[in-house]
Amino acid sequence: MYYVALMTFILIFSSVTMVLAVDAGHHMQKGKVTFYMFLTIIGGAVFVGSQAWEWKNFIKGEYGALETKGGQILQFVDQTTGKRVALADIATPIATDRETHLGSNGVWYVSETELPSVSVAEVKAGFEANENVVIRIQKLDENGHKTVLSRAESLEKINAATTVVEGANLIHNEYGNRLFADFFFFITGFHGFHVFSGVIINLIIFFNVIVGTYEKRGHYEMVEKVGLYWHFVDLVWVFVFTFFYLV
Amino acid sequence: MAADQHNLAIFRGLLKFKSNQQKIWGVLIFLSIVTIIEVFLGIVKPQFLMSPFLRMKLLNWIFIILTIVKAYYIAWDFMHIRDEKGGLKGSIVLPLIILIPYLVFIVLLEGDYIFDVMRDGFVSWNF
Repeated sequence: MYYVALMTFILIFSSVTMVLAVDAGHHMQKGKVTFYMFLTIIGGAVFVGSQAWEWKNFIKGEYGALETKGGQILQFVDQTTGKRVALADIATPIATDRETHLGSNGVWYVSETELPSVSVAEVKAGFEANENVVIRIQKLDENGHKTVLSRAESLEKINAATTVVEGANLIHNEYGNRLFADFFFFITGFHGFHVFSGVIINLIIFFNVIVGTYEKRGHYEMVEKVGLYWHFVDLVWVFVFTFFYLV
Repeated sequence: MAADQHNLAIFRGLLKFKSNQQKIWGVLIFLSIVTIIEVFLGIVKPQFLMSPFLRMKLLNWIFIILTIVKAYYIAWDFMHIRDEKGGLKGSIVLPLIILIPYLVFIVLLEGDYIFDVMRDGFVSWNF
């Protein structure tokens, strides 16, 4: 949240340097246009980098969770502190021969996605041994918080679990609803791609400014055009930020 | 748009700037303040704003309204719609204020229907 807020400021600021570049272009100040476009490109690059980092964290996951057959997420919390508990902390290791099946080992060249670090059976055994851990489900109570089950209900509920989910992707999401992760990656991915192409277009115009193309042409209208694209990307981010991080 | 014809007043003339650069910085400060308010509300989530209003939390209404305010200033000052003629302004903005609420309406209606089926119909949330 804090980091994403910082990213928002970086993008708004790069929008501002873009307007300043356009304004300097109106006054035919080549040096200033160069400087402000440079800042804009840096801002955009930092933003795309931050977005990639966000994705990495989201994909990798933090605590891990179990998923039921119906696609509901079961998360583990400490009964006394109310804090989340990671799967790795409670799982009891059980000896198993099950390994990730690689394409090089099979009869035909079929592989499977990497197995999670713990199995459902290990989590279940560990959960039964840890008296202090309970399950939190996604259903909201009357105060709008996620429901935390009692120990007895939790012991009942864990039998519904079928898969271990670590991190988020287009299909599974350890943080909550699957559709949210799907939408999140879809929308921020599209936005990130637009920012990336914006940085590339800005770079091309930046080099054109340096070699003096627009000085010869007599106006800096191209800077204004890429500026409009850049503001559009910023405008979209304002909405993405609201609907994916605030609401 | 000619280079020197900038409309330098924002907030309906409440705040006038001496140059276009100054106006840009002014708008940046305004956008930053709005963003800080949003982030602050997002972190604190005050209890009195969690009550529902028109089927949505009051806090979410505030977020959406503040976002539209920000979008307005980005479009008006950064994309310099403020300096354009009335006709051009209308042709850019009118399709948006007609089509976006229309799309939102359709999506909400359809989403609500699916939610009702999940809740009351034969399809179970969890099986």
